[in-house]
Amino acid sequence: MAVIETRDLRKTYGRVEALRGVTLKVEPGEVFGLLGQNGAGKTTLIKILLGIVKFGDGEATLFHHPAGTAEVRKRVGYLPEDHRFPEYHSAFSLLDYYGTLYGMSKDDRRRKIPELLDQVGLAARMNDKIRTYSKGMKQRTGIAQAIFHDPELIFLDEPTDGVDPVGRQEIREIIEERRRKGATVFVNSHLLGEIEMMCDRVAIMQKGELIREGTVQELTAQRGVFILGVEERNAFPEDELRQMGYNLRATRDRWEITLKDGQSIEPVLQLVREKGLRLTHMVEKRQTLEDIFVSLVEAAEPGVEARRKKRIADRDRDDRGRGRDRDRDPYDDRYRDDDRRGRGGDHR
Amino acid sequence: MTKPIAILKDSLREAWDSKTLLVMLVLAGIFLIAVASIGYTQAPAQKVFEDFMEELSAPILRIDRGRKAVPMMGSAEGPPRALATYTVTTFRTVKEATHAPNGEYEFTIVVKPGSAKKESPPDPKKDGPKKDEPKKDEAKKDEPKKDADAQADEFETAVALWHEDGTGKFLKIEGRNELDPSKIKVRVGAVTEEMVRDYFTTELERRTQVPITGFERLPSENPGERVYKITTGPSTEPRVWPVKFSILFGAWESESPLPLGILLYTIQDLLISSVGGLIIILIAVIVTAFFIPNMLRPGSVVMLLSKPISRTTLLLFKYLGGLFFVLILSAFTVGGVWLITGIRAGVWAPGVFAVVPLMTLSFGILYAVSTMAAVWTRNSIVSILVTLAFAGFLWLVGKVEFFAMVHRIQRDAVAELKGEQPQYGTWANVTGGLNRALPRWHDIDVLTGRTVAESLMTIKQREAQGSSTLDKHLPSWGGTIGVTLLWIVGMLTFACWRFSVKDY
Repeated sequence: MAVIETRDLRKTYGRVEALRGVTLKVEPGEVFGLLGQNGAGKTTLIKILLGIVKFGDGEATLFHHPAGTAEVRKRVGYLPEDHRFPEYHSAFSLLDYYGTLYGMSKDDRRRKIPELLDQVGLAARMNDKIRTYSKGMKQRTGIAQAIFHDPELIFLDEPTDGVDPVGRQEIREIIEERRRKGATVFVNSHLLGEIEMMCDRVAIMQKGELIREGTVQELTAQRGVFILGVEERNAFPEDELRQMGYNLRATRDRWEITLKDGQSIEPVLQLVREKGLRLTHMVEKRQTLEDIFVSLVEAAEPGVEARRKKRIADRDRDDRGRGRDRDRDPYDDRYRDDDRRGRGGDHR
Repeated sequence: MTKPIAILKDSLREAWDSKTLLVMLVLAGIFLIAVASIGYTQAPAQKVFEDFMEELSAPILRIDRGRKAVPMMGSAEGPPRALATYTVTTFRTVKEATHAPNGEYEFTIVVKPGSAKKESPPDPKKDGPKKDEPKKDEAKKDEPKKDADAQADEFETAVALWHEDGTGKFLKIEGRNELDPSKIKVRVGAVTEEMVRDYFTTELERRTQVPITGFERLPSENPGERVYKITTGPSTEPRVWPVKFSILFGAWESESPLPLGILLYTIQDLLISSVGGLIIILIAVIVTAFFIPNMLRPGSVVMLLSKPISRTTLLLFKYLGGLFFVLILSAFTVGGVWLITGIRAGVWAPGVFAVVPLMTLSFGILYAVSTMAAVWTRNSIVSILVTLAFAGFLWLVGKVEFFAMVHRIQRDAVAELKGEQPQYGTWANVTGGLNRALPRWHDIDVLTGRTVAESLMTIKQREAQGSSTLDKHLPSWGGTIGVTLLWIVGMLTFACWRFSVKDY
């Protein structure tokens, strides 16, 4: 039974089509990430599911009930993007107020508030006015109010916005903990790395449409591209492999081999061994979510990728002008990120 | 019910945190200290009776045993004239008492038919009666001889008018377009000594709550004058005895004493119902105008709308939160004034607490406008401006309606004396209709004043102020509250509808 289900959901603001037939299913216990550029319709989708925005055509249900009813909202927690709390509250009084709106008993509220604020790292300041909080502290307050009443479904719109790396780690842990307790989490974020780390499934939204959906593994896999490194770079049998029909591309100290249909990486490894070369590195290249995101956006909105490449080229030219050695493939950073994360495909 | 209460508490927390409620309570406290600085001293008996006679000499038509008192309409040539003048000539304390109202006194009064002012020196602004007098004489000369012989003097006319209940039993009116005393004829022999005694007894009791225990007509040395000896008993109602009042703990004291009840009413009506109430309401309009726009700010509103509470409940209880703000302020102020008045003047009048809900209702009209504007524009400044403009419009209609009411009272009095159907001006009818259709801001003010008056003044004091005439023209409670609530409900329904359908 899906927790969130939309069918051909549409919403227009005047002449602007914010949602153009969004069909989506989120299963219980999933951490679901929704990616998209600004104005893609992510926040509108969440607001429709919460009844904050009315939708035009289509269907939207939460827990198989029409989305947006007060009864359904009781089971949902929400952290909006760019939220603004009443600053006359402290974190304690705010949670007490919101807890009352969720129908929690006074005893329950008084017991849980200190525990939760301790969990999000606000225990020491829980009686201070929110107006005195930093952005990160406000964000932690937002997370706390979203999970305070133990909701079955949590919507988080840019949950790590303004939070330092340690705070982000803590928020990821809180989300993981909620997932373990059986909650479903729906995350909107621009931080693709965060999404990649937190989410089981991801959907990408562009101009009011879902253009891609799947698990992180499914989206990031890039079959048939391998990165190899040997101890003596110059001894690498580049010419022989080209003669064997392999497509090679040199990076700073490694080689990227793209297999054609029917080709296998095994003959390459065999040749390296025969040459007596020691293999230092070998991974199946994976795309990051960012790659996927940018390529999909490029497909939907040509010019995005060209602008990105131009920015990188300009940066390298500036670096060279300042005498810095950055003689490397512009994409090299991404390989290193890929290596550092080492998520799957490592054949070393 | 806990959710709505939580919203109310949240509104109060907002008001408290912004220090506005605190500042308002401090200001109310300063105001209460000012009220506490007012002192009351009972006037000496002789002064009380002298003032009573002077007041009786005022050019006011008192009919229906004095229950209807309207300013006398003069001739086209000049200002109104008194029917008779009354002067205390001798005074004696028969029985001393600690409090002046509890003593027994004896005094004589001289009644001169016609205005005493005709003897005053010439003054182009004030000397109307003197200028009028020859014309009156001329008018008398023009009358047929037999009518002039049958004409009662002005004192008899005053007493006859006082007894007149609209049946024409004592009066014969010749003037159709104005009530000039010279054109009012009293039947010869209609006014008896018993009627004169009744006249003085009732009027004195009404003003001082002092009973007349002895009444005797003495021979007069001057032709046309009447002399009466009056003996009085102890007063039965301390609120009626005139007092002098001082402010700032005696720094300044009034010269003329006023009956305590009337004085307290004047102070409370001025300070609480009128000026004080208006100030509280206007400040509250400004302060509370921020509540709803703050709630509707992007980032704040989505937080609340994601909670399991309906938008209508949210808005209505935010509205009630604003009313609660005024309720607290008015209860604090009125309660304080009630306590201080009780301690300082010895008058405990619980009726003044009616001001609290009525002031809140008055504010409720304006806050409904503010709420509607806030939902529409999400802008506090626009809400304040729209609300103040609406308040100004209601105030203007109310002011015109006040003049229309005075106009209607005068026309009614004239028509009653003439035995005709009253005719009102078109402007008065239009204003009346407009006032009835709009939220009854002015009417609430009038009814608040009456409630305070009923609480602080005796029935006879109110009668002396023409309550029987005024009450006939007072707006009804049902109509006032009903129409006002209808407007409030209508505006809130509109605001709730907008809030419910709007995307945030």
